[in-house]
Amino acid sequence: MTKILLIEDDHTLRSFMRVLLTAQSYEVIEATDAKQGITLALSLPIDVIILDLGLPDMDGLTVIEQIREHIQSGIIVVSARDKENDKIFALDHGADDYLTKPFNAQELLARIRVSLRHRTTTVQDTLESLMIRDIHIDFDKHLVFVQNNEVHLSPIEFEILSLLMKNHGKVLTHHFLLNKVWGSQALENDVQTLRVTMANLRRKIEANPGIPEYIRTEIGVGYRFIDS
Amino acid sequence: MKPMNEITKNLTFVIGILLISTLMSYIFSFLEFQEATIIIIYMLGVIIISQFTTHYLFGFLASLLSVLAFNFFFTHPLYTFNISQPDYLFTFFIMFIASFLSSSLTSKLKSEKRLSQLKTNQVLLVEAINHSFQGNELSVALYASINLIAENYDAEVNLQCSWGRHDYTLSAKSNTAINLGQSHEAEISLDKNSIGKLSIRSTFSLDATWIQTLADLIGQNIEHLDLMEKQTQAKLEIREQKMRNDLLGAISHDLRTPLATIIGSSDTLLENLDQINLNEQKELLENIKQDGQWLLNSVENILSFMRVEEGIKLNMNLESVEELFGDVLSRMVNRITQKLVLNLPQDPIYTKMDIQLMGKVLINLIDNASKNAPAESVITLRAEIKGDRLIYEVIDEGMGVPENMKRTIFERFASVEKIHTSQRKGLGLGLAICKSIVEAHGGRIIVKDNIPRGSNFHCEFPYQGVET
Repeated sequence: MTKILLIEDDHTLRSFMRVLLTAQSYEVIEATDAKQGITLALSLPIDVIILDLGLPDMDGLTVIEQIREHIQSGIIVVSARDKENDKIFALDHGADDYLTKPFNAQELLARIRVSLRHRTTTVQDTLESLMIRDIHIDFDKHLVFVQNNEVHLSPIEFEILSLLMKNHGKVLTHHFLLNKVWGSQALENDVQTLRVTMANLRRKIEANPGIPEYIRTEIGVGYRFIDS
Repeated sequence: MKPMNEITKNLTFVIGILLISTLMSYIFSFLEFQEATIIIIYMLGVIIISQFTTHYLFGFLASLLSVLAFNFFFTHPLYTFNISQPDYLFTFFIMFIASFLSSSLTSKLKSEKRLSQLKTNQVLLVEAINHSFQGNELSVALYASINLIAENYDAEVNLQCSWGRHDYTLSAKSNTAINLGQSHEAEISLDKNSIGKLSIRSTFSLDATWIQTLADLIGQNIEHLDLMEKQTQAKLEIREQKMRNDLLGAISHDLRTPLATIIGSSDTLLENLDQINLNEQKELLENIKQDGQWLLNSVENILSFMRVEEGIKLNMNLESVEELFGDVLSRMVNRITQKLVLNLPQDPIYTKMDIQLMGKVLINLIDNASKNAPAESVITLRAEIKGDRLIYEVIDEGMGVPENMKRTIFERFASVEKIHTSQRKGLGLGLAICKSIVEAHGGRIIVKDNIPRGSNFHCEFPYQGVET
């Protein structure tokens, strides 16, 4: 049975998530503060952790730093704050995803499913090709087909698309993409370059780049490949 | 310091010293000392005169008179201005030159000394003016400065300047300022623009450049203070900005968390109804109700906080504390899980208050207590008259307030994170509102420990017994 750890101090919010997740046949374990959460995360085989950033005893970001290296669980951050920096910090330090309060139940379930999928198929670097919705990507031959029509991508565009598709459903931060594609020399202000590349990529694969179907912008944070 | 007096005084001194010189010379001449001794005695007299009179002319006069006195009293024929030997003329001439030179030398030394004293005075005055600008409000500093100038120069000083939203017209006059000369004026500038003028009417004749220096000095100090004021203003604006940010933070936390529950729970009920049992359905509905209530509370707190921030208008009426408590009890009793107990003195208390706002204070305090205390514990609401003070207390059996937070807990957003840690939800906006309302009523609010456990929110107000 899939184990989900809720680290959330708010009673009613925790209660709603417990009912929802139990109904989905997940096993729900609850922690009301960071210390309890860390102990449980480190001692039990947890699949996904849902972590509130505004905990009473410790900043949720500190919790991520303390547990990330020791466990394989997926981490989904829940925050009332709309500070992009917190989300980016969480994602760059090992959180899989984030939800901003208020969020609806289906959104939460979708994020949990994405996180679980990435836990079970961790080794995707050896993939030869991938087909998601109408896009087929061949990593070996560096080919991309949209609805069976080949599109020509520049090496950098191809690199970005393959990262997004390998991590489909998951948000990738600007920082992460820049690092992977341009290397560790990439600077924060290269985000502009990333935007330009992304605009070109969208023009090639999206029917309407203004209303993207495949790559969604997470404003101020990064990009996500929509898989459903 | 009348000029006429000055001259009379000096002349008296000249004649006095000459008389003494003559007397002494007489004694020495009687003892058959040589004439040279007598000449030296006169010269000594002239030097003393130059030292203590205020003008070199008195030295000159003394030199002349000495020669005449010497001639009259000590040269043959005695007691006439005639002379028997022509070489006396030469003696007189040498004597006059010698005494005049020594007298003018003394005068020069004296005036140099005075000049250096004047310079020291100027330095001291500059320092004093600079000092008066330190840590003082602008108007106080300006007044102190012109007062210093007036005292220093026995003068009447007027200062008029205006810039930005400042406008000053000040004047100061020394008590001893009489026989004032003509007025000297100098421009005061700020950032190279003239903003007004300094005018001085002094007993002394003052140098125009020096007055300009004083005006510049005041100008520089104004510039400095003006800059500091602008910095303070900027800091205030930053604080203001921070408060606005904190308010947004409070709203995002206080509204989003219950909304997350409401949206999530209702979404679960709508989409996953067949997967959850009746008990769970009930739990979700209760969550929705509870957080809806919470949300209403938060919205009301934010609104009243904004209203309070704009300035409280009290609607003071003579009210009964019993009725106040009764109203609060009826409103709170179904909202909290704890037992609410009223504790009122036997005799009814009537006092002037804004009953709406005071009700809000008590409701917020009880709400706060309820958040921190276990279910089924007791929350006490009590009133007491202690001398000339009326006291309300809200006492709970919860976890209490840590010592280091007892002050900050009432500050608006001062310790958002810290307050958050001790409570399940909420940012103490409610307590900030309580403080504002209590203070508007001329009272104060503090939090104390309750023995053996919990906290005691204690408000006290001035109270005059009211005849009913």
